[in-house]
Amino acid sequence: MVSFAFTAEQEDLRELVQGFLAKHPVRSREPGSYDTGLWRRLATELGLTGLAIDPSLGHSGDAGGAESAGSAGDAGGAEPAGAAGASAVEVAIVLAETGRALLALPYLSTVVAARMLPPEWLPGITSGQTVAALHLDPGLTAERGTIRGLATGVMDGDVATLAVVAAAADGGPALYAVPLDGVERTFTSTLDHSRPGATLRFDHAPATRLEASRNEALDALHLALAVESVGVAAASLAMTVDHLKTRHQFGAPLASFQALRHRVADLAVTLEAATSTTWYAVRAGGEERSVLAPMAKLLAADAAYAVTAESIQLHGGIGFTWEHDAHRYFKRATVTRLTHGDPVALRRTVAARAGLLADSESALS
Amino acid sequence: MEPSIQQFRRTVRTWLAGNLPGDLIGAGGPGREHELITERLAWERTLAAGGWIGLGWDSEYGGRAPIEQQVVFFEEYARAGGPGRLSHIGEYLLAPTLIAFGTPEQRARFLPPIARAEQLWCQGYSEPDAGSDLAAVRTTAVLDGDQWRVTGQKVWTSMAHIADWCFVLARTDVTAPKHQGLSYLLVPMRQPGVDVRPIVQLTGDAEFSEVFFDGAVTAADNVVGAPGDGWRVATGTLGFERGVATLGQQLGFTREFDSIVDAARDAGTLDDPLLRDRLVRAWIGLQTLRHHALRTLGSPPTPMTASVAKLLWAPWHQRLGELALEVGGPAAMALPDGLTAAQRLFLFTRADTIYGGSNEIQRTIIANHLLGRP
Repeated sequence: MVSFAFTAEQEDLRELVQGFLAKHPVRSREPGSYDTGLWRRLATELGLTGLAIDPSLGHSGDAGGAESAGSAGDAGGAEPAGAAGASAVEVAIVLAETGRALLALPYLSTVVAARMLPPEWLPGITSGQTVAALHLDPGLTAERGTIRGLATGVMDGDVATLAVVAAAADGGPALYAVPLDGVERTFTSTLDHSRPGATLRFDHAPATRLEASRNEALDALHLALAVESVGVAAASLAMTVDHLKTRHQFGAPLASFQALRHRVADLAVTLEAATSTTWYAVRAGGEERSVLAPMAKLLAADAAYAVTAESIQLHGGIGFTWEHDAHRYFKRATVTRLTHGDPVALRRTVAARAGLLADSESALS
Repeated sequence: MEPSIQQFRRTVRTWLAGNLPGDLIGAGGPGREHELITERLAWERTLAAGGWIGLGWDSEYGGRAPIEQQVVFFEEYARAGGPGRLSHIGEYLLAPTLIAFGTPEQRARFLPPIARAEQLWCQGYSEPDAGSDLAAVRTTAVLDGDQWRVTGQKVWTSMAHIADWCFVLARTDVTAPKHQGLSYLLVPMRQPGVDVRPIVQLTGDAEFSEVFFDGAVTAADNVVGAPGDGWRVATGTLGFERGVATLGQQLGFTREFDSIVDAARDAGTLDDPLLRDRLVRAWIGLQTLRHHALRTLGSPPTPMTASVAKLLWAPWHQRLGELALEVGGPAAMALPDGLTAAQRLFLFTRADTIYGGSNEIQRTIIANHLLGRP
């Protein structure tokens, strides 16, 4: 049975990161710049980028796909084939906290990329000198150790020193690590002020082919976005609850009005469901991961959107101001939901990978 | 998984394969509780003889299975299509209540017959004027010498027509404030002062009854907890309704989902991309039910745990009932010979969001936890 329990050390980690980020809030950044001092502290003082690396797994720390060291489980049962490594849980804990804090630093991109990298890249990750971005969409080609093509909408690509990209090569799409010095870069902004990006023009940029597959990288990205979204939603809901308790109208706190109480309850249920699937996906690993990762991203991103949208509503007029943080969480949730697989695309992926509605057999074989 | 869990699963699977009569597969269950009562009673005896009743009880009362094994039992039972249980109210509601709140004498008296499937129970909670507001119950019990005399009416009592005993939330002190004058009584059903009348549902069947207590009696020590402590004990029972059993529920849901997909295929509607999307959403929702059950099983319940679970599965299941008709097109409306399975699922699931604590009550419970009381 998958255990959802956290160790005392993991709870300590959560508390530490939550406290640190609450003391150093950074919820937006300008394209091309980021708080390098805070980034270095996260990397070197708290060791948070190095968490992504699990040396006991041999290479950089695989996406969880190879850890079927546990029993294969029962053929008829639905238990996972092997648990994900402990560092996957720790990284997830940190990602949830960065989501909660709406941290405007390239943490998610860097730790997901780190899981795909071979050992020689890892010191840069651990020290914080390497900032990574991902581009897994089609459009790039690889030939003779170089990458060609245009990568648009690269999250945190404006400040990255390294990109992990998918590119078409002989035998199908493969994953490459591409240092970004010398690569033509145009900063871009999106609705999400905490995550600018870039368009990267690769013109025979030298690249190292990686062992990890594009699907592994995409699954890891989906899982990371899911966990982060759970944090975003949790923070938004907490802010909303706080507002309802303190704001008074008609001689009573808003929290006493049943219509609003029930809306909060519905949001809590939505968040609980997404949290359960997301943490199950983090811990399950193995064969189920290819279905669970996109499912978790789908549910968590939808939940974050629902919660952050309602949060604006439940804050009333103040929720519509620039000054209040509600819009920032809403915009992060909006962009996360509609990029890296929108809900329709993710449902298609889940259905295909789970073998649902296959023509010749019933839903679950 | 440890080898012992796999071994246990094999044991359960083998036993079920060897003992479950074919004609009982898929029988009973919500919306079909009226089916094959005699055969299902015999099945309860078979389960009891196999030692499968009371697995989850504390070990000193005969329980023998850690939670992982209980999970496995429920999964295998559902996978084998085991029929809806008749002793579940005794096994999963009353027994844990006696273990938590009862006296050693009550446990010694009532647990063994439940474990042997010799005594069936029903739950006397709701009344016509006390549904969501359960504490407003007006059934009274008056101590008359060495027995309680019970007067009043309960409603929505499932199994009442076959139950031997009923646990009744009754008012024993009409002068005390609402929540404090209640007692949790154990009342024998087969006596002249108890009258059971079926309630016909919108499915056309009667799975629940009204129970009239008029001159019904029970021994003075058939009260669980002290007189006046009934509300605390009753809410304890409500808390036991969640948990391990829900995993079997999800496997039952999976069977329902699969047959809906098959029906869509047969009706030629499975090619419609919009319908496919609805089916995929339903499947994903079902996975979430399982993930959530697993996540909450392993940790101590919070005041909102049971409410979240109900607000997840009940609307989901209701939506599944709607899908069951949608895949069939207009032809799904026809009544060839009694309700079709799809129609029964559709109609019965309207109750899922009402019984066991309505959606509105569950939301209020969650809101009380998150926002404090209004």
